[in-house]
Amino acid sequence: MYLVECTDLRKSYSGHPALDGVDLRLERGKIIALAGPNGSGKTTLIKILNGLLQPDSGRVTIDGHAPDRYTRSIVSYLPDRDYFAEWMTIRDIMDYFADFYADFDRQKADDMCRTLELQPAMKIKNLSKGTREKMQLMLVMSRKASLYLLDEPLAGVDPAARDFILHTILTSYNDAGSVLISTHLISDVEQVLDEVIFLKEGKVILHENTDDLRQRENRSVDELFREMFRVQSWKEEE
Amino acid sequence: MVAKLTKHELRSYWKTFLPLWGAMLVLAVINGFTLRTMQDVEGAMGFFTHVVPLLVLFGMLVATCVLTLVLVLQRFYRGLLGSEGYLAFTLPVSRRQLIASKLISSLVVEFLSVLVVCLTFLLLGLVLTEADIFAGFGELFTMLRKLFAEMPHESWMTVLFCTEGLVLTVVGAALGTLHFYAAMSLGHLSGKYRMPLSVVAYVVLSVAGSWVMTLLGQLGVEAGLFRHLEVLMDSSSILKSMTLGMGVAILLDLAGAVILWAVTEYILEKKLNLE
Repeated sequence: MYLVECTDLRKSYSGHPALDGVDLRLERGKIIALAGPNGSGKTTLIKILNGLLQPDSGRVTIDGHAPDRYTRSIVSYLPDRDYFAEWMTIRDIMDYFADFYADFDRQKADDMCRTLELQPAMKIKNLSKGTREKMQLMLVMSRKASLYLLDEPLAGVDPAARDFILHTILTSYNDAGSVLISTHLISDVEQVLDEVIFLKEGKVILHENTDDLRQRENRSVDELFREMFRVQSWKEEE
Repeated sequence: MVAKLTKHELRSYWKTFLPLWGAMLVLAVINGFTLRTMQDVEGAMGFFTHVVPLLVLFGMLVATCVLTLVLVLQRFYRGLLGSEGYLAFTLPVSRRQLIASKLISSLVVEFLSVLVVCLTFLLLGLVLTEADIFAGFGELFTMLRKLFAEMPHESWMTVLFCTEGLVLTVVGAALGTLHFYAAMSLGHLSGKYRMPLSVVAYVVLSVAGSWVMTLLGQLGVEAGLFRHLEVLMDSSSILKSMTLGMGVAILLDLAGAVILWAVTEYILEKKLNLE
C-alpha cells in the first residue's frame, strides 16, 4: 500500500483552480521534493494532506485513511509560518508536543536544543526569525512520524541555516517514513532527494526518481526545473 | 485529550489574569485599610486617599470584565482561526475536543473573574468594617439549620432553586460564549471580510434566537402548554413556579448552546480554510 495516495484531487479558490486533477502515489522511506513556482498549488496540496483544507473533489489517503485523527498522529507538519503562541517558552512547546504526540522523542528534542544553544526557558518572542524556524523544524523532526510534511523549510533563511536544516532533516527523520519537502529552492535540496514532483498550475507535470531523471536528461534537477518554469514565465511575459 | 487541551489553554490565561486578580485583591485590602484609617482626612488629601484608590479599584474591575471577554474571543480566534490553528488542527484530537477545551477554559476564567470581583468587594467590606467573618458565617449556618428544621419542604425547594440558578448561570455563560464562537466561525467562511462578517453573524444569530423564542412562545400558547403549566404550578407557591420556570429556561438555553456548538463544529470540520 502506498503511504500517500491522491486521486483526481481538485481545489479552487473563487473559481481559480489551485489543484486541477492531481494524481500522486508516494511510497514509504523516500525524501521527495514538491517543487513549483509560487501559486502552483504546493501549499494547497500540503494543507489538504493535513486536513486543514477540504478538496472540492477527489480523494486523498494517508496510510489508507482519509485525513483524520489517526493521520494527524502519524504526520509531522512544518507550516510555512510561525504557529506557536509568542508567550510560550521552548519548554512549554516541548511539553505540548510530549502531551499530544506519542511518537515525540523528548531526549532528541533536548539534544537538538543544546546543539542550537537554546535554553528551555527562552520565550518564542525573543528568538530571531532564523532561530525560531530552526526550533520549529527541530520539534517536527523529533517525532518518529510516518510522514513529514515540510512546507518551504528553507525559505527566508541564510545559507548556513539551510545546511543545518538539511542536515537535521537527513539525520533525524524516521527512515521507515517519508519526507515531502515543498520548495522552489531545488538546488539546496537536490543532493538529498530520492524523488521529485513538479507542480505547475495545479497539475503534476513530472514525478520521477531523481537519479533516473538526471541520467535521462543529462543535467541536474535544478537545471531542469529552471528550464521548465523559465520557459513558461517568458511565454507569460510575451 | 480534552483535559490536556484545557490545561494548555488555561496556561495561556494565567499569565494575564493571575497578576491582575492578585493586584485587585491586594488593592481591595489596601483600600479598606486606607479608608478605615484615614476617614477623617478631608480636602485634596482626602481625594487622594479616599477617591483615587477607589477609582483605581473600580477601573481594575471594569478592566477585568473587558479583558475577560477580549481574551476569551482572542483565544478562540487566534488559537483556532489564526496562525496557531496550524498547530491546533494538526493535533491528533477531534474538532469537538478543541471546541470543548476552549469552552471549558473560557467558562473557568469567566467564573474565576466573577469570583475575584466578589472577593474584592468582600475583602474591601471586611477590612473597612473590621467584621468578624467567621462569626458571620457561624450565624448564617445556625440560621440555615433552623430554617431546614422548621420548613423542610420550602428549604429544599430553595436549595433546588439555587442549584438551578447555578446551572442556568453556567449554561447561560456557555450559550453566550458559543454565540461568539459560532459568529467567528461563520465569519471565517468569508475570504476577505472575516471580521466584519463575524460581527454581522453575531447580530443575525441574536435576532434569529429572539425569533425562535417568540415562535416557541406562540406555539406554546396555541398548544395550551401554559394552561398545563398553570395546573402544575400551585398558585400559592411562587417558589415552585419559579423553580419550574428556571427548569424550562435551562432546557431552552441548553438547546441553543447545542445548536451553536453544532454550527461551529461543522464549519471547523468541513469548511476550514486557514490562511
